[in-house]
Amino acid sequence: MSDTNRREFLQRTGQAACAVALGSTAIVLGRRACAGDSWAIAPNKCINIRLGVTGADKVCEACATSCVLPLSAVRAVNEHSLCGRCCICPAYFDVRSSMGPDGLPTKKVCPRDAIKRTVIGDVDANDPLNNFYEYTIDEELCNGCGRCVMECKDPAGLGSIRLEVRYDRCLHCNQCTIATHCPEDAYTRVGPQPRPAIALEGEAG
Amino acid sequence: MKLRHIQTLSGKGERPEQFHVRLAGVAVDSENCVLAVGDREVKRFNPDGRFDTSFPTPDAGWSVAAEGESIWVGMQGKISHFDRQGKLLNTIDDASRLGMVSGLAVKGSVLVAADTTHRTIHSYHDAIWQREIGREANTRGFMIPNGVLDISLEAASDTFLVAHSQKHRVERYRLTGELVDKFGRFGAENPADFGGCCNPTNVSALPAGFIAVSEKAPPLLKVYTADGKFVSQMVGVFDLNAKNIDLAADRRGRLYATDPVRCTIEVFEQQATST
Repeated sequence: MSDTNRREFLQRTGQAACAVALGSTAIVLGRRACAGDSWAIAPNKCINIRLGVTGADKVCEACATSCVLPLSAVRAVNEHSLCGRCCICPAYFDVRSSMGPDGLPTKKVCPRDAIKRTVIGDVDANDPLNNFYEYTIDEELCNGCGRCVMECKDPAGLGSIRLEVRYDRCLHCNQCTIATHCPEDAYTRVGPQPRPAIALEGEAG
Repeated sequence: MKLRHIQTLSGKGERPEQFHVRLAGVAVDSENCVLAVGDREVKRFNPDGRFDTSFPTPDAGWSVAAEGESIWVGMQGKISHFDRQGKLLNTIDDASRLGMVSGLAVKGSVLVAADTTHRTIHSYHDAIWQREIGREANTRGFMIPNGVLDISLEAASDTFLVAHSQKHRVERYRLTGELVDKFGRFGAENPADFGGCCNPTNVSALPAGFIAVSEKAPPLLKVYTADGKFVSQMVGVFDLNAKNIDLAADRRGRLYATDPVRCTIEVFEQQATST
């Protein structure tokens, strides 16, 4: 090999090594920078939330089955100010199931029985339908399967139940497995943890 | 008796007969002309369905009723009275008492207004408030998670019907306020029953003693006898996301039903059946 060829070889090898090193550093720095990023569900994309899609057969359970946590960081939440407090809530009861002797559907929507139904005030003995009910979601039981969300949305319900990423439970993985498996690209990186959209009850500001 | 879909009126768009954004209610006047309230106007269609004219309302209208030469439009906190040409005659401005007026029934000097905001029904006589209706039967107010309280006059018997959606029933009251009777129950297997969280959402008395109701999720129409026996149902005409389908009937027995998603008025004809 001539001196010129050797010099050229060394020069190119050095350039390649530098490029690899810089690229690797950029990737590592990029991953570190995004490691704390949060994820959110885009309601206009999520098939369980977005309007126009109805039916239990269309429920997507990717949030429940793909999270690396034993119980998904995605949970259903009920915004009580929007809830109709129905006697027969389509997110609580399977309204297509047969009717029991009490006049209520015999099956529930939630496979984990995570929704609790409590009467508001005293039951009207003369007319049990003359009552409102509060529906609360036990987040220790909810796995974010989205069935109640699908049933609650307009026009069947009022859309008060939705899926949310619980930032206090999320591990903030850089490569979120739910995002990888989401068929609608609804699970999106939103950068540093955003402020909650709505202040929870009892919180100042 | 069953319903047959025969015509579609209006729609969403820029043409004079169309609505830009919203269609809220429908009524039929004494000459079988169709009145539709939406956006901030009332549109009138001839008995054959051709667009006739429109006139503005002072605010966004939520309900419309016609009696003789008068047209009434329910809005937020007020009810306006027009003549047939659309000239504003007077307004019941009762904002401290009235919320969103989503249903109207008028007979002579008696006007009954369904108040969705306060989940109650108000009675007026010569435009002067008289009483709330339904308090004794519904101590917690009318339960309407669907967001609209609808009523329909039964002129011959001085009664009116209420679609009480959460209780899955139709209630009949005298114009003087007493509950006369009611029918309906929750159920998913028998078409006579009302399904979902809150159905029926709207109601209309038909000629010859029948009653039509509309449901949501899925949107459909049902017909009952005056005493609540199921007669027939009609599915598949409306947008699947349509809810609170307002109803009105003319003297020929035609039924007019709004599709709030498409801003159309679907016209149905009653057909006798051999059974």
